[in-house]
Amino acid sequence: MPNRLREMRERTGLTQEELAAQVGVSRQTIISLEKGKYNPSISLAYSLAKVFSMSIEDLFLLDERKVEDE
Amino acid sequence: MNSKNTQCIKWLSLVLVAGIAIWQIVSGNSSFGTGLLVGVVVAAGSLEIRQRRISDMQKKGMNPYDERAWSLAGMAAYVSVRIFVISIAVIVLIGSIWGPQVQVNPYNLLGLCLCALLGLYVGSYYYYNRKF
Repeated sequence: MPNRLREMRERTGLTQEELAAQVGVSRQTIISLEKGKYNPSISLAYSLAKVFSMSIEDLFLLDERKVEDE
Repeated sequence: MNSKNTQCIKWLSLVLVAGIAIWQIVSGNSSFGTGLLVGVVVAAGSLEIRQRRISDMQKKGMNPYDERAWSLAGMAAYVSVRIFVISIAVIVLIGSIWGPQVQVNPYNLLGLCLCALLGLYVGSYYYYNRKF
C-alpha cells in the first residue's frame, strides 16, 4: 500500500529505529512499510498516524485500482 | 510462562539431548551420537545469537515479535505444509504403483520428514521475509 510514512518520518526527524520503538514494532517492519511491501494492521496504522498527528487516510493511500483487481 | 522460563526450558532440553548424544557415543552408536551432538552445538549457537539480537532490540524499545513477524510465520507455515502434503501425496502415489518394496526404519523416516518440513518452513520464512 502506498504511504507517506518515509516523508513524514524524515519531516519529523525520526530515525527508523526511533519510530519502530515508538509504535512497538521492529525496524524491519518500518522498512517494509516505507517500501509499501507490507500492509499494517488497523492498530499499527492507528499508532503510526497518532505519532504524526494525522489521520490514517492521510498517511496510507488506498490504491483503488489494485483493490478492484483483487 | 515468561521468556526467562522459556529460555531456561530450551537450554535444559539442549543439555538433556547433549547428555543423550554422549550416552549414545559411549554405548557404541557413535554416528548417531556425533550427529546429535553436532546438532546440539549448532542449535545452542543459533539460540544464543538469536537471543542476543532479541535482547538488543528489546533494550532499544522495539518488539521483535511484532505483527509482521507473526504474519510471515503464518504464511511460511501455510506454504510449507501445503508443499509438504502435496509432495508426500505424489511420492506415495508414484511409489505405491511403480516403486520397489523397501523396508525402512520408521524413526529414520520420521526424522527425514521432520527435516524436510523444517527446511521448507525456514526456506519459505526467508523467502517471505525478503518479499515483504
